[in-house]
Amino acid sequence: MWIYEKKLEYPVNIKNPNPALAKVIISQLGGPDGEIGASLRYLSQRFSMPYREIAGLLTDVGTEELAHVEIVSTILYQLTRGMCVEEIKKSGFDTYFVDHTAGIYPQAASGVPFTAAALQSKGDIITDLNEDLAAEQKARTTYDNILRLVDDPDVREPIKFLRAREIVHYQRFAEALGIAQERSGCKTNYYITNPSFDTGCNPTCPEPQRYTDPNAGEWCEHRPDNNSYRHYRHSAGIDPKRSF
Amino acid sequence: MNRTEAKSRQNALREVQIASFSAIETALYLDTHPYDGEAMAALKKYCAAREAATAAYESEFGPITVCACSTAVEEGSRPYFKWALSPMPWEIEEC
Repeated sequence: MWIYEKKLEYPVNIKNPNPALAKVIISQLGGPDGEIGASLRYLSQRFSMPYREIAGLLTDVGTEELAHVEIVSTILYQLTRGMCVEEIKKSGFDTYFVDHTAGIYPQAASGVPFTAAALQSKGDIITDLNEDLAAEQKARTTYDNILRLVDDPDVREPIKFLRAREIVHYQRFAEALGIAQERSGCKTNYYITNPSFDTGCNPTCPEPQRYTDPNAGEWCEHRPDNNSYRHYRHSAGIDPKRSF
Repeated sequence: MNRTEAKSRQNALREVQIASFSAIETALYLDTHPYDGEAMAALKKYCAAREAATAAYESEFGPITVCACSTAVEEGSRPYFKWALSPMPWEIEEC
C-alpha cells in the first residue's frame, strides 16, 4: 500500500524550456536503466527475498525510485512546456512530438518504449542483488552522461541529486549482499545456494558446519539464524563442498 | 498567490522536503543496520521534524496527504476539497 504525498522528493524549477535536453533525459524515465525499471525491479524482487531487512530495503528503495520517476517526469514536463512549432522542429523534438505532443511517455532516448526486458527478477538472492548493484551503476553512468550534455544549473541540480541517490542505493545493496551471504551460510565464498528456493535440510543441527577448501583454508561456515542453524541443500544437485 | 506568498510557500515546502529526505535516507541506512541506536535516535528526530514541518505547511498552504483535507474550509468562503484544487508538484514555484 502506498499513500501519495503532494510534493517532490527534490525540487525542480526549470526557468528555460529546452526540448533538446528532454530528448536525452527521457532515457532516465523509460530507458533501459531508467527509474521506472528500477522501481519495478526492486518492488518485484522483494517477494522472493527471504531476509526481512533486505525485503524491507527493496521496498524502501523501490518506493524512492517511484519518487524519482516523478522528478524525471517533472524535468521533462518543464523542459517541454510552452513550445512553439519552430522550436520543436529546430530542437529535433519533432520525432517525439508527432507521437506524444508534449505528453510524458516512458521511452528511451532512442525512442524504444519502456520494456520490462531491461530488468530481471530471478528469484535467487545473489543473482538479484548483483543485478541491483549493476543497475545502480548503470543509472549512475547515464546520469554522468546527462551531466556531460547539460549546462543549465536548473536541470543539473536535480540530476545531480538523482545521481547521488544511485551511489547511496549501491552502497545499501552491497551491504545487503553481505548480509545475504552471511545469512545463507557463507562469507568468503560468493555463491553457495539459493536460500529463497533451496530448502533448509537440517534446521536443528547444533553445530555450525564448516566446509574446507584445501587451497584457501576454511571458506564457508553456517551461522546461527534465529537461534537455530540453517543448512541448505542445493536442490540443483550440486554439492556445495565441490561447487568450485 | 503573490510573490511573497509564493516565497513563503516555497520555504515551508523546503522544510518538509529536507526533513522527509533526512528520514528516508536514515531509514535506508537502518534497513541494513537495524541495531544502530544512534541512527534510530536520528530517525526519531527527523520524523518529528517532518511531522512538524508538514503540519506547518498544511495549515497554511494545503494538504500534502489526503488526510490533511480538514484544512480545506476557509473563512468566509464555500468549503471545498483542497486536495483536488491545490497545485501539483510539477508546477513551477513562481517566485
